[in-house]
Amino acid sequence: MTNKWAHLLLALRTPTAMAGFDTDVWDLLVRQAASAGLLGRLGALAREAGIEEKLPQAVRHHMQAVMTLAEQQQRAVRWELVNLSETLSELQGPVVLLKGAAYAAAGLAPGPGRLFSDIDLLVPKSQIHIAEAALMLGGWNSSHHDSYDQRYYRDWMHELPPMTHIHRQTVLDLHHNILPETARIRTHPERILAQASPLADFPRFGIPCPADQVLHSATHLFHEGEWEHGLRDLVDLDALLRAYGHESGFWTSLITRATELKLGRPLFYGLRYCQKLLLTPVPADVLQRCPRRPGAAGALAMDCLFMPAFSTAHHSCRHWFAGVAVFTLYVRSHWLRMPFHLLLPHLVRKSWKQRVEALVKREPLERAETP
Amino acid sequence: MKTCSQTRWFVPAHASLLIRQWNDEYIVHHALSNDTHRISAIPGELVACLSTFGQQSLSDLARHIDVDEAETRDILEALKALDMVACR
Amino acid sequence: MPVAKLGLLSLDDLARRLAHGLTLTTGPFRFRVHSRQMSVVRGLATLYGEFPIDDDTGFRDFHVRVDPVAGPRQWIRPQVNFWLDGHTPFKPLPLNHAFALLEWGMNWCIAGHSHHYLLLHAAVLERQGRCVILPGDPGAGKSTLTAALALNGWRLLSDELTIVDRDDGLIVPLARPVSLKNQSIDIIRTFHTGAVMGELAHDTHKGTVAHLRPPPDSVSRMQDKGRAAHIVFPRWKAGATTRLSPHSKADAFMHAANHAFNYSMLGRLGFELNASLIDTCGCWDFEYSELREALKIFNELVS
Repeated sequence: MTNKWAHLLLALRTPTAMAGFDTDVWDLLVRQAASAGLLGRLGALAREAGIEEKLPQAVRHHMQAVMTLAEQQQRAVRWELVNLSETLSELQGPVVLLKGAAYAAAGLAPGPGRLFSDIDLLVPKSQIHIAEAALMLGGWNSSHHDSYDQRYYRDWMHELPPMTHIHRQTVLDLHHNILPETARIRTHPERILAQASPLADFPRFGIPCPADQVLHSATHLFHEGEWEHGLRDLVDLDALLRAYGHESGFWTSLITRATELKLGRPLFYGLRYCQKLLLTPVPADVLQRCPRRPGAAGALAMDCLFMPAFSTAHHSCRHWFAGVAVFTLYVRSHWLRMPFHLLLPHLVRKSWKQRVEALVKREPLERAETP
Repeated sequence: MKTCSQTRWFVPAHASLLIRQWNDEYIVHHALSNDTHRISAIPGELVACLSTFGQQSLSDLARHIDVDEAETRDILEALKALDMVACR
Repeated sequence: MPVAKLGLLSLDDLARRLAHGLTLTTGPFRFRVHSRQMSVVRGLATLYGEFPIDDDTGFRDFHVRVDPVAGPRQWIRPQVNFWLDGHTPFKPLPLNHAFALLEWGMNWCIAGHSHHYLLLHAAVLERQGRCVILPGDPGAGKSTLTAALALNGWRLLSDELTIVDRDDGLIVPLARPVSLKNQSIDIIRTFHTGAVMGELAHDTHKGTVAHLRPPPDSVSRMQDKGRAAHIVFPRWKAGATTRLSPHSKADAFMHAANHAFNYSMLGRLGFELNASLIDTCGCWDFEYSELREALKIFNELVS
């Protein structure tokens, strides 16, 4: 495996080590961290460890720049929750925040320095259309108007097409499950909703219990196939495990819950790669107790895919096999989401759309320049 | 139901308004929405008064800016739409 | 680390260093610049002679590259692109826009990433220890005025990016070349026959573009922060009487905020920094038609 990211992993595992890095190390590390979406996290870790002043001033400035952006996003999510509390006040049952928005709103361990774009909400399936209607009244518009995309989301997936607020331009993803309707694993979102606890500042909203936060993070990473931020998502998982790992009964509840929700396999992968890359402290027997874990040969085979995929964090540490690995995982993520008769036509269509979008994606200079 | 005279107006805690005045114009920043507004003297004085002195009744506010109560209420409703003030 | 000036290198040495990666300092930023384009080499040689350069080591804020694009466009109506650490944020441009693309790309890097600072879209120059900030509405003649001031004893801090330090509120210089377009180019050439400019880039999205070499004194003082004293909204108008008149401070605040690169991103801090500037500075409208008269008024403003 590459050693070009040795300093990045060391900084994440042992933040105090950053105090000893010279400017040549930082010249690569800042770029790697920025590309991986982890520069803000390094800044937050340095601040927490009390070593911020020991870093070169230019490096501190770059970290502060990203942390400024992260703080703005956290403020923005809090404002959204003020508005959404009103918009969704008539909804029955809990509305649960997931991932980045949950970390920001509830001050959870992965939050400091983390950038995120969308707000993810989980509601009971019976409430999904009422929620959507309420959001539309509140100024949220659905973004995907293509009838195929609408069907993809509404009939097959676990979420509606993303909605954008007409004035504030915030993007919201409304979920009724954490895995698609068509997925090979049939999990139980109603149990996640049942175990959620309300936020003190925004009682209309809840966050999943600690075990569910870990399971959702692992499931999202090892099922969704978005490797651009693979290492960042693993760091989220590591932060959650370090925060909750000391709590009495946590590891047992994690295994119990994984069994109940049938998410033992993604949990296994999450724990395995957290240990390998981030040296997350996980009790010796926990990996062995993961339900539905792969056998030793299966785990080694997946190492050949997941480890190169994580290395795509930056071009400097990208493994030679990463292209093949990421493509294979991309197909796998779709295979996990839908049966074959839907999979192949979907992949062909998606690939065609992406080619067209890539041609027009980059900004013309005149738009990029003006503030 | 409260009568108009019993309604108390105040700046919402989450707004944490920052206010600056230059000549007869006010610039107000709302911390949570991160919106910055430029407002004229009379609405500005209302916001500054509530921000400095805490909750007030409509009649107190009307007296403060030397405007009749009906017009004061209209101004307050406009400020309420921007979440700079609220009432209970 | 040995610090030398770019102008001490021969053109061949400069081309060689640039082909591998040349470290260039501008104000608080160190750029690693990489290019095999001779027009970029020539542009740097003409316009950046006084700038400090270093070995290819240490921490660089931005790793940038301007080079021809691969594939058929290498030969058929060839194009260049701008890379920041391996990513291309823009669409490619014609080959002869290469140096202009480097300048725009460097501006984009600073404007898009340097949120330690409040970044205003304005020129800023200094005389007698007082900085004058010139917010630029398009077509207002800001760049022409900026170039004229820089050529007449004013220290150039920046022609596009007014950088306000969040810790002390002072203005941070870049001292990079002044971007001129269309008629401004000829006006400045006529106005100051000694003005040194780079090659013209025709048919860009701004028309014809060229860059004016910054005064050596401005470059040598690129580490000296400045203190803002005035904000002047210039407006060139044919036949107008030169006139300086007060501009509403509330309006100046909103204009600066709306035209800043990152006012919203800084939240309360953005408000405080912007408000401090408005508190400290005289705010003026400035109408003019003759450059000589304009210079006279500006000199009086800071004396």
